[in-house]
Amino acid sequence: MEREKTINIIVAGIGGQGNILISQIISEAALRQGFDVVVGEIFGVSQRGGPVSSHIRIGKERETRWRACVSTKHQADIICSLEPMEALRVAIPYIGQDGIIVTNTHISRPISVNLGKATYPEVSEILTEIKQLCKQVIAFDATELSLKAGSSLSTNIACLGALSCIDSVGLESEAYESAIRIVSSKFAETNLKVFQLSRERVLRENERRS
Amino acid sequence: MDKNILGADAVGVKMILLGNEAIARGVIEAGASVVAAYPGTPSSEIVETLARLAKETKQYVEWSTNEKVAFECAVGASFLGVRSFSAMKSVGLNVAMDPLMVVNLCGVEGGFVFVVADDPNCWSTQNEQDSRMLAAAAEIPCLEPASAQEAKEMVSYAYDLSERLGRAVMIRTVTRLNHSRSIVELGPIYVKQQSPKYHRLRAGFPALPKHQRLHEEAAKLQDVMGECPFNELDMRTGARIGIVGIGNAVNFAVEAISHLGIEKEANLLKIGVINPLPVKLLKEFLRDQDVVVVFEEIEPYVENQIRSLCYDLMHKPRIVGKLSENIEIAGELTVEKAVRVLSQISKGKSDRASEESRSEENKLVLTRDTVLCAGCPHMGTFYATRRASSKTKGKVLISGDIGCYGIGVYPPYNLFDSHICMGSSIGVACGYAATGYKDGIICIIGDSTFYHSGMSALINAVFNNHNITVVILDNSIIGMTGHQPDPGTGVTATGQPTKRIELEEVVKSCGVDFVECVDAFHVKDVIKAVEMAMKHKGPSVVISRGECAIIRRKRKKDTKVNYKINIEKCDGCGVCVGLLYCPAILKEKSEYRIDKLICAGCGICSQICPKKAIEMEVVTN
Repeated sequence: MEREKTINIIVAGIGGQGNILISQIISEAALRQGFDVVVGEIFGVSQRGGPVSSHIRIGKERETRWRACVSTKHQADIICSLEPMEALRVAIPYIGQDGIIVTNTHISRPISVNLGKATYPEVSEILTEIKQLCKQVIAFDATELSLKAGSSLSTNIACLGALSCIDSVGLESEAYESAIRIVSSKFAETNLKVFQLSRERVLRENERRS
Repeated sequence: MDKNILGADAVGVKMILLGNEAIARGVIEAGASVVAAYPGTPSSEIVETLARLAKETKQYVEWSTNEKVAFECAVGASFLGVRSFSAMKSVGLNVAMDPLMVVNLCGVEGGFVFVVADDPNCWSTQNEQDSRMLAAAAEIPCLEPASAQEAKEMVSYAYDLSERLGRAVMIRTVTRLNHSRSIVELGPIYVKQQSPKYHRLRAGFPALPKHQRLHEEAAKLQDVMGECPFNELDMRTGARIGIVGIGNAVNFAVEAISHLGIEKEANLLKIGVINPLPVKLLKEFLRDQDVVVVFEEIEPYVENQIRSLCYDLMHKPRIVGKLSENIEIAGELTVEKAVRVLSQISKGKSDRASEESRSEENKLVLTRDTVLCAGCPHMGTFYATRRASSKTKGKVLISGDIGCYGIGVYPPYNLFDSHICMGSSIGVACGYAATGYKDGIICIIGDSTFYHSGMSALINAVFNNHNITVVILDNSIIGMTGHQPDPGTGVTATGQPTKRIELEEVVKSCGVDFVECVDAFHVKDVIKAVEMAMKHKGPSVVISRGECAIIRRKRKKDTKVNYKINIEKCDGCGVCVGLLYCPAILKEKSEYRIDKLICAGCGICSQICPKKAIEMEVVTN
């Protein structure tokens, strides 16, 4: 696929949800298709249970040797979030007006909510808010979909499956699949199953709409 | 791409590598034989990668007990003519500073290169220190890469330089380099037979002539490093704005230039050699600028030197950077910051995106405090420490340390009264005790941090008879940085079985009379032990032992024990979540329940529930 400009993808979530794994899969898939790619991540204990995001920037052949590993504010093309509040947290500063947001609807409560010091908003409220920030929102319960395939641990891959259906990313499903085999070799079987299930779900939705 | 290729002779292969993996590959390509380090974010993956590949690369790789020991171990190998390597986080260099300040004088034989990973923005560090200044203090060559590819190449260059000069060479990185991934092309592996050979005495003395020579060699160093490929000058005809990007900061500078479309108006100087700065090149560059903008991470280190060079040149361009207060000192550089500064200078140019106003406040977005994992053994020990210390009349002082449990200093825990650096909990507590404070003093320290630098402080407590209680959280591994083995694990960095050091024996032999070892998952036992320890006169130690929840989850795959809250018995008091802060206990409206997906089955909550409403259930997968 011809690539005009750099595509900026941000994977959001909380520590322990496996967002770094999907950023690895996306970047490996991009490499396989001959694109240039740079990924900015932050990890360490400060993120245990806290917000974590990784930025993936996919470009055509490298034009300059020097470029930032994080997306500029208001210029992200896609946000893929493993948790709805995290989708909003990252969307506010980063998503572009023409952007697309993929988000899991299964919530993860901050400790303040369980301590009764704060209230987690209705997911529908969050979705309404993020819809105002971008062009399209794809929201579904990725955790439930992952559980159907046997393990909630593949929630990240369920989100990746939905992201892989976005044409503007420009990566073929085969590229993702071989990247899944390499990057998550131990759980490749379950992950590939979840990836397919998630893609089928999006394609069914698209069919239903048209 | 199979990550094991990293250790193989695979010239020309392109891989996506973490900055740290690229550095590791550089160490392999340079043929270093001895590697020693202590883990620390964001540097850990460098030596972790080398340890994983050691069998294939035949490198000797060890996790040492601390950065000082690691540094000395690598230096020792270099004294015998063998190429060696060490890596540490910014504050790790503070620990290794002692040997560095003499190794700079006595020099090295085999190439010795070490990486220091600074952490602008304090993503996972207690401070935001700039180690470039420490390299300058030690008067050793220092480089800073701007990409993973360059980092790999810099390592090879640094080894050649180290051997050519007979000096230690430092590579400074920042988190955004260590923890970003990009495409790296592998190079050939340098193979040279390096057998250990005694050369000559290595010592700092006589220190005066050696110190003098360090200064005299500075000029020679300028010539040697002036030719290196890591500084780049890109001049545009007629342009009078000079942008200087140092190390990784050049990426933000270039990105901002392109955002503003000022490529034709801006001259760019990319600097990769931090010490000594390329003075000739800088002077040539500075002469032609009306405005100079300096982008660098943390302190205005280069900006300062540019100001001094301009004085020598009798040239007075406007200098924009951190000293001029155009860029904040604290926090890491971002494209937005760079765009803002450059748009102020290139009048008329503005960035559409940065002008667009969008409120970043949103009441729906809640703060997410970091908490211990569900099933973490520290959770019960925190609870027990709080309980035991609440039974005394006055305020018990709790001094914390560095590790996962370091989050005890933040909300919602607010458990610690002090939190300084690796191993400091015991030393600080000695000071508390020295004042005659009577209401109880507890230190909380992990096993690896204890071996790192807590041990000498414990001996100090015994030596000076300080009345303190040390609670050692023993998970027999370095949890926070990714489960590297420590002296209590029983295996080495490369997975070889080794003698397991018994923590109880170490503590006893330090001279501590009261030592109690308890299971961290039996809360009552921990409370009782801490209470007894606090009653003991003189230093006392409680070892609270329990496996890291992440390790246990990986190990126990077949059956899963879960806990559930019996709604009939629960009166909604909230003690479980309110005192443990376990992420698995959820509050929905006014009812509590346990999320099966998160619960690790440790059962600590069921032990502390006043109504005995939390019950075990076994789920078999």
